Parts: sequence; C-alpha cells; structure tokens
Amino acid sequence: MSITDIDNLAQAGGEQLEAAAVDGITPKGIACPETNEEVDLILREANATGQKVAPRGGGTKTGLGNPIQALDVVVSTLGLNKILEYSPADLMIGVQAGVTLADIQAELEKNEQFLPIESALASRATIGGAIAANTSGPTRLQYGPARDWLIGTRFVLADGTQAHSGGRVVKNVAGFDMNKIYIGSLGSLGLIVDMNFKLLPMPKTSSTLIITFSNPLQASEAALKIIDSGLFPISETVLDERGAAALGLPAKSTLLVEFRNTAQAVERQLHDSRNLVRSFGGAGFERIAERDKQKELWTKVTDFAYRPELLANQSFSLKAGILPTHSPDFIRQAQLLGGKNGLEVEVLSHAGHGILYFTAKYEDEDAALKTITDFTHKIETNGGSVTAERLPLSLKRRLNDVWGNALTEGELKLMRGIREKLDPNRTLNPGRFVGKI
Amino acid sequence: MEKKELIAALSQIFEADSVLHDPVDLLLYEYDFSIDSHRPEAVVIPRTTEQISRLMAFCEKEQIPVVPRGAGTGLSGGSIPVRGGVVVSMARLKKLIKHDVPNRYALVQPGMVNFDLSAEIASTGYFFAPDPASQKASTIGGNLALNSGGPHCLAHGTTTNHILGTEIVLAGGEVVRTGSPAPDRPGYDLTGFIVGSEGTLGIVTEATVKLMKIPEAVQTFLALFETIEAASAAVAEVIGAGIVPAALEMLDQVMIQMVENAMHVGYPPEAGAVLLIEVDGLSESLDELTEEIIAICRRNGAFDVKHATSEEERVNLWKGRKSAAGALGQVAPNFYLHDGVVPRSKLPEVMRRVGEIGREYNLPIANIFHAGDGNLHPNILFDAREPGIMDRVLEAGEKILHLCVEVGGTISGEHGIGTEKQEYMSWIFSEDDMETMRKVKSVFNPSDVVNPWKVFPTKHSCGEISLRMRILKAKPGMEEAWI
Repeated sequence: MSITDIDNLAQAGGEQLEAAAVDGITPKGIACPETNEEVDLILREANATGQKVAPRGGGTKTGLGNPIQALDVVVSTLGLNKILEYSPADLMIGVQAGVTLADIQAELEKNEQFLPIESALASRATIGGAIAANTSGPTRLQYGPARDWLIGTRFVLADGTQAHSGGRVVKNVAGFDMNKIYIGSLGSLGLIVDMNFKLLPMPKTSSTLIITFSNPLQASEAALKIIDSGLFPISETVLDERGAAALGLPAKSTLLVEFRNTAQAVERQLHDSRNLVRSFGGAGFERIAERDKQKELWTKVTDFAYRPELLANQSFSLKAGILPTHSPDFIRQAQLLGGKNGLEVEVLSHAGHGILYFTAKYEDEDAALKTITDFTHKIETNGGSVTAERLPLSLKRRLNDVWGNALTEGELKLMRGIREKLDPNRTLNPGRFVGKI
Repeated sequence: MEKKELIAALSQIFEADSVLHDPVDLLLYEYDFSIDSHRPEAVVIPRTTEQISRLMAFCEKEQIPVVPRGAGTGLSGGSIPVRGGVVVSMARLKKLIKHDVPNRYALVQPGMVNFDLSAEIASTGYFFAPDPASQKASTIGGNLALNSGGPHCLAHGTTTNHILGTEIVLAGGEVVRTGSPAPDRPGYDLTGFIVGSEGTLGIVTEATVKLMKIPEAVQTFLALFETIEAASAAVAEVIGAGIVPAALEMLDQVMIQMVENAMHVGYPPEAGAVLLIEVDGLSESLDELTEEIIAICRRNGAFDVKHATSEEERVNLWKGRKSAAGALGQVAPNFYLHDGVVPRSKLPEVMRRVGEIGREYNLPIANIFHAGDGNLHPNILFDAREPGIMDRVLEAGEKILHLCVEVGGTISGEHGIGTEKQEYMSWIFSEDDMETMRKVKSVFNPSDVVNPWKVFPTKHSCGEISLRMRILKAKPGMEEAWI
C-alpha cells in the first residue's frame, strides 16, 4: 500500500464512516493497515499534514474519554489480526493489536492456558483496545491488572517512529518500562501494534458460589473476611438487588465467589467460605461447578457496564476505584444518590480489589449529571477516583473531565510533559485523554 | 563550583552530622557490588523529604550530579556516582509509616530494609513479597529502583507488581505523589514507569507497597541430578506442563560443593546439579503439586529427592541459596556475575553453551540461578591478580549475555543495567527505542543531573566512560555480595 494522500485511503462508504465516528465527529477516512510499516506511513503522513487520528480496535470503548477535539482519520487495527508467536512451553504469547480477546483465549485454551486479562464484550474487544483502555474484570482480585501480564510492547509514535519496550521473557529490567505508560493511555502516546504477554496454566478445577444476603453491605464485608481468612478466591463480586436482577439472578443482595485450584483445595475453600459468611448473614448457597455455566455467569459480570438494555437506552456507567474496605459505604452512597435524584441504579462491586461499577438509565439529564458529580466528589474525597466510562455525548460534554479531578497538578504536569514529548502535534486523539491533553 | 563552596551550601540544607566530605568517609560510597567505582565529592544523609527537595533544587541550579543510594548492594553500578557530585544516602529514611491490613497495603520510607518490613508486619499474617537474595540488607527504595526479583517472584511477580504508588522528588525539587492504594488512578501509570528506572528520574521518598497474605502451608525440597542439562530439562518440562511453583532455583555442582563446605546446610556434594523447589498455598493442594513436580524431575533423571521436614531444615536450604555468594571465595578471590534471561524452553541448550564458554576461556563458572523464570546467574570465578585475566573475564561475560539475547532473551532480569551493561543496550534496543525512553525520562530529569550517565549507551569517549576501560582492577570484600 502506498500512501500519498490520506483522503484517498478511505475506501469506506458513508455508512462505515459514520459507524466509526468518535463523539459525533465522522472521520473523512478509515485506514486499515495490515503491517507496522503501513501504520508508520499513515501516522507519518497525518502528523505531517496536521490531520487528527483516532485509533480503533473492536469499537467497544469508542465512548471512553473526553470529547475528541478534532478527527480526520480513524486507524483501525482490525487488519493487524495475527497471533505472532505462541510458545506454550514458555507460557508466553505475542499478538498483534487487532486480535480479539476471545480469539486469544480460544487459542490458549487448546493448551489449557489463559491470559488473565478481561474486558467487557470480549468477542469484539481487541487486545490492543483492552490494553489502551486498561480494562479488567472480576479475576483481577487474584491475577492483578493488565500491567502484571504485559511484558513487551511495540508501538508507532505519532510521527511514524516505530519503537518497542520490554521483550519476550518474563523477567526483564533492561531499559525503562514503557509498557506501563502505554497501558491505559487510550491511544494518546502512539498506536500499539503488537504485544507480548505472560500466561498462566488453566487451573484444574473451579467452582463458583452464589451467596445471598439481606443487604449488600454485609455481602461486601463477608467478601473481605474470606480473603483475610487465608483462602484465595479468584473473584469476589457483590451485587445489590437491582444489580443481581440485571444479571438475571434473583433480586437479592448477592456475593459471587470463584475458587480455582486442585479439586481438594477447591472443596475445602467452598466449605470454609460457607462457614465464614454465615456470621454475616450469608444464606441460599448455590454452587456452580460446570466450566461453561461459570463462564456464562462471569461473562455477564464482566459485561455489566455494557448490558444490552443499558446500550439501548439513555444511560451511564461509572467505574470507581476505591479501597476495598470502602465498598460497603459506596454501594450505599450510590443507592442513596440515585434515590435522591430519582434514578433507579444498579451497583456491582468487586469488593476484594476495589473496582465498583454504578449504572443507571435516566430521563432527566440534570439529575444524571448531579448524580455523577456528587458520586465522583464523594469518592475522590476518600482517596479514590471515578471514570465516567460510558455515557451519551450530551452528558459527557457537561462533565469537566470524564476522569474527574483526582489528579494533582504535579501528576498532570508530568502527564502533559510525556504527551508533549511523544506526540507534540497532538495528532492522536486530541483532547480525549485525562486533563483533555 | 569548588568543593568548599559545595560543602558550605550543603551545610545550609543539612545538619552537621548529615554531610560527609572527608575522603575517608567518602570511600564507603564509591562502589556497590559491581566491579566499578567512583568517588563522590560529598555524601548527605537526609532526615526529611524537604531536605531532599532543597538539595535537588540546588543541584539542578548548579548542575551538580546527585545520586541516590540505598544499601549499595546493587550489582550493576546503579548507585555509583560516575560523574562525582553528591550521593544521597537514604539510610535515615527507614520508617514504616503506616500499614493498612484490610486494604492490603503499607506506606514505607525507601531506606527501610526489605526484610524488616515483612518482619515488622509478620504478626498481621501479611508480608511484602519481593525477596531478592540481598533482602536482609537491601532497601525497599533500592528494590523499587531496580525492579528487583528474587526466588519467589516466579509466582508472586517482581517488585513492580507490588508497588502501588510513590512520592518522588524530581530534578529541580518538585515533590509529586504518584499512584494510590486504590486501583486505577486515572492517567498514565507514572508509578510503573518510575519502578525500574534505576534512580534516574528523581529520588523516591515514599513507597506505597502491596501486602500479601502469608500462605498457610509450604513445602520445600531438593531434586538431585547428575548434570545441569538434565536439571534444566526438568525445569523446562515443569513450566511447560503448566506448573508454576512458588520458587524453582538451580545450583550446579561447583556451587553446591562450595555452599555445603561453607555452611553445612544439607546440600548433597555428589550431585551434578540440584533444583531447590518450593510450593506454597493451601495445604490441600500441595501434596498433589509436589508429586507432579517430583514425577517430572524423575522422568528427567533426578536420582533423589530430599524434603525439608522441619522449618529449620527449610530455613537451612534457603540459607544455602541466599548466602551462596559468600561461599564463592573458597575457589577464587573474585567473581564476575551476570543475570541474563532466556526463554525457559531454551534452558538446556543455554546451560550447555555457558559450560562451553567457561571451557573456551579457561574460567570456572559457578551457576546458581532462578531457573523457573529463565534468569541465569553465571558466576565467573577468577583471581584479579593474574595479569591479563580481566579481559578474558569480561569477554566471557559478554559472550554469555550475547547468547541470552541470541535465543530471544535479555541482558538483565533483576540486577539492572547501571554502568555495567549500558553499552550492551543496543543489542536489544534500536536507537529509536532508546530515544523514546530518553524523551520520557527528560520530562522528569531534563538536564540529567539525577544519576547521570546510566542505563543508556554513553555518547562520551570510551576512555572516559566505558566500563571496560575503568574497571580493570578488582575489589576486595566481594564475599558479602548477594546473587
């Protein structure tokens, strides 16, 4: 592919262009490079001619970020869709950015291995997008965030420079750890073209326990008690009544716990955790042992903020990062604030590791705005942060920053500095990232 | 600036007992456990972040190099003031500021010794996971700067996986807090970039670290092999079978015999190689796991397996591993150590070729390393008094590292680049790769006054800076090093 004029690149029809719009701005073209060199040429040309670029994977997180300030070209990574290297013996995989998470897991499953990175809508979400958006799911409790698994990153800077960080071995301190600043950078530092990851063997046995409580606060406290007792739950997710109903479970305050280990160790943990949670009022124990059924349930949990009925209606999804012991309090705050503003809200809290989702449909935009800003303020004054992860453009425009005001001026200065060094023309996603940089 | 003026200026910032400038006092601060050295003009031992901030403002203004230093146990020259200037010892900033057990984190000062943190919080049932062999001396700040590993990082991850936030004083004196104990702080992961930057971005004055629950059960055992190749094949098969033990360490015969002679910890001198294996977790899971690992070892030629049957035996087996460097002195007065990493499936081939390199250069090599994650530690043994030997030693070391890169690995797994390996960076990184890293570094440390001339290849003349030209001398006292 030779690239002389980006406008000629766009082979896409009007409908496709509209589908690739970001924050209401339809691009003039969509580029679908199939090699790193093509990415290099496209970015170089755009950067030199002052055109603005938004990278795009599966399009599941296009709503994330502050409103983009200008857009000319969408660069789709879907043409970069190969698994480059998979070495089961080294528990390592190298993939291009456009491979979907589901496809990666399907490949790994053949060898009873998996990549402990999760994202909503994993059948469409690409690995490049998951890293750029720093997605996570319920198993983060045991396996940690994406930053614990990414060992090598190759990216193309806005000016077309190709560079890489890390490598393909699991321990590596050569050079600065650029991998880390690309995680969650939302395309603002360059386009990630391929990545290497550490992997884990699939545990032999797993079981999920569904426990109900009279209120979500007790469920949250029980979750922490299980961890402190020395058991090793893989996931612990608390749902309030409406949250449980939204996932198709009985409308009760619920704690979902998954254990993975040898059969004996799973049995012992199920037994111990049942005994532990009884003193918090836990009851109605249901156990799911089949792998597929567990997967179905946990996929719903991971997709919570992107449920079909939310996407079909005027709604928002907030993600909060809080201290685990604050989970009971903020579940309550979410319910109270929603009630005060006349919204019916659903809450899901990964009570063991401190990620909490808060979703609501709404009719009155003022009420929605007030709910979001009040909730964000309460969390920030307690050392946490909130991301307004998914919300309509008109509501987004009324927020000062979808990431709130958690950052200090000192942090922002460093972040602006990094952005300025790696993309001085603000070619990539202008205005979309934290602080509208 | 004259040295006198420098001391006067430092005395404005620090108490009299916090500024060292007598040449005798400075001697201690000119080296770490690499084979490099350079003396600073002065050493300061701050008591507060504010003092460090004032020092950084002064040094930036006067363009005086400033180099942070923990315990000086680094093995790659990271804490050596290669351009002179002021060394900042973190020895007095060693408090545990706070620990929050329900939320599983602690706030510590960087001068705190790694082992002291876990010891101080042991009664809570939690611990700090990174366990470099130097952990009884090395500091959390040093671990953070180097992204230290250790035997148990096979299962628990390296230091970077356990640092949630920092307070850092930037060049110029600005104090910034990064990260937080709550997850997913918005924006770029500044904390992740700071960890492993070898003290070249600023001086970290606080760290928020993750705490983990102490596992309820642990089993430790030694698998004995006739050859290092057989033991390497067993390691490759254990990992290939999808088993991740808590630790999987290897010692070759040279190492085993030295350790046993020196410490009498129960290592079998007749073995050609041993694997020190540990599994931990719930008691119900361990027997099954241990059985599987032993079966794989036997399939690959293990002729015996020795279990630690008491906590004392377990501690002894680990003592042999963690204090091994001290035993090296029995064979030769000096050793030179690298820590290249290879894909685990390549271990058998690589260990064979490391042996060949030793024979080619007529140098004994003792191996003791983190086999589970492919992180080699070949110790080249020599007597620096032998004329011309340093060239051979350095060349053999270089060849081993090159071999690691050739099979898809890297030049350092946990010791850092420092000054030792900066000229090898171009083996694995292009000029564009390194320029991108330098650009981000310049946001924190624009004029390179903080720990200058480290990590990246120098653009200075070789005679001035190259390790090989500077270190053709050996250092006594290496028996106190950790590997």
